[in-house]
Formats: sequence, C-alpha cells, structure tokens
Amino acid sequence: MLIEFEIIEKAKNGDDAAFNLIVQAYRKRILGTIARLIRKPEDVEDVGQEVFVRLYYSLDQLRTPEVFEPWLYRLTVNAAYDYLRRRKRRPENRMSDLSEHQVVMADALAGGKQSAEQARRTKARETVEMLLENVSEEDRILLMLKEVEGLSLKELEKIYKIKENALKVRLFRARQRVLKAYEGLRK
Amino acid sequence: MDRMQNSMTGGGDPLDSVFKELREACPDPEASAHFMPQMWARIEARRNSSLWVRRYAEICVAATLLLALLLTVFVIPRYQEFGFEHYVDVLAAADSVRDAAPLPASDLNALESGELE
Repeated sequence: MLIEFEIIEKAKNGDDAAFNLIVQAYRKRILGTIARLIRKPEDVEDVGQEVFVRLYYSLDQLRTPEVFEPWLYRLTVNAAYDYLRRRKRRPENRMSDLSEHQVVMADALAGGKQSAEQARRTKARETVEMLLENVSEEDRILLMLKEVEGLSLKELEKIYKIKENALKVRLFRARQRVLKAYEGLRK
Repeated sequence: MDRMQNSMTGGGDPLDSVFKELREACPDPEASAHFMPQMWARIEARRNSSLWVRRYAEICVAATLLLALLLTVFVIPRYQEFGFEHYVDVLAAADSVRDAAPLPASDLNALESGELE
C-alpha cells in the first residue's frame, strides 16, 4: 500500500485533502498503467483524471481500506477499457494516430536523429503491440496487467471478481496465442 | 496444469523478456502541472450536473404531487356530481315509472281477451 488506511478512511468520509494525498500517491503508477494499456500518450492524463473522478464518487462504496488497491485497479481497467471501446467506435484520422515508431521516424527524417535507446524502446513497444493484436482487447488488458504490471493472480482475482482457475485458463490461452504469434514473427 | 502454471509464472519462455523490455521501455510518466486542477474541475462539474439533475427531479415530483392534489380537491368531486348510474339501474327506474301508470280501459279489455299477446 502506498498510503495509510487512515487517509483512505478520511477521504471516504469526504475529506478532500485526504483524497488529494491519495491521488498524489497513486497517480504516477495509475498513469503508467494507463499509458501501457491505451498506447496514446496524449490521452493518458484524460483517462487518469477520469479514474480519480470515478474513485471520488465511488469511494463511499468501498467496504474496507484493505481492498482499496484492487478497487483502484478495477476502476483503472474499466476506464481504459471504456476509452478503447470509444476509440474503436469513433476512429479518427489525426496526426496523433500515427504510431510512436512512425512519429519517431518522421522526426528523424525531419532532421534530428533518434538515440539508440529510444529506438530500442520504440521497437519493444511495437513488437508487443504487434503480438498482442492476436488476442481480444479484454485478454490484452489481462495479459498486460499480469505480465507487464506484475499483478499476482490473487490481485487479478480481486480486480476481475473471477475465480483464480478461470483466470489461469484465460491467461494461458491468451499467452499461447501470443507465443504462437511470436514464434511466427521469429521465423 | 503444471505447463499452464509454468507458462504464467515465467517459465522462461521468450515472452517474458519481451514483456520485461516493454516495462522498461514505458516507465511511469510524471503527471503534468495541470493534472490536479483539471481533475478537481471535473469533480466539481460532475457534482454540479448531478445537483442539477436532482433539483430537476425534485421539481418534477413536486409538480406531480400538486397536480394529484388539484385533481383530488377540484376535479373528482365535480365529476361525481354527474353520478355513476349503471344502464340496468336507469332501465329499472324507467320501467318502474311506466309500470306505475294505469293502463287505458281499451288496453285492459284487449289484454283480457288475449289480443295483446
């Protein structure tokens, strides 16, 4: 836990200063998760704010502070998922819709040269995005939470409210599909 | 099941390094200076809109109650003045008036002789 239970209780009872402390403690982590889930840097803060607005209005439904983190992750996953669904419904043609790699390439062409480190990062992102295109949006989020965010099966069980065995099966199948795509990519 | 467990807990398959690379490639970003003010503005905006909806709902409920009261006090008693007699009651009343009137003597004679049947 990044914050004391007492502060969560205070925020739950309407203390805005305590709520501010919660946001300050968790925003970096939540923004990181959102950034990796939605893959649109310019919309990360918008979705992050939505998560904390939802948290503010649903905090009174939190039974105990012990389940605060899974609760917050659940809100994060739901907000990211809503965003992705919205984006799917209304595809836009904007400059910002270019992939990070394309933007970097365009920048490089425009004069500057990308560093080797930046190129490696971009390649890693592009590879994972390409691999995860082989699974559904729901499974992509689940895999990201498990493999990239490092959440345990117990934590995922609390977030998704699904039995651990069902999660294992779902993760296994998704991972197998991604692995197959990876092997195809290597050939 | 062991294979499944192995596959999910990082049994050393190549995907683990791919995911690790992604984690390193996308560190948690810092929030901008506008993050907190914009978030509070959104909280306030949602609070105001929910207040407006609640006020609107209260006005609708009050108007409905007032209308119901007006109907009870003014309209329903007036409507009751017209009465709610059933058709059979009206018919019975009309029959009783007709039956009470004496028959003319010619009709009585015709009735006795069986001509009216």
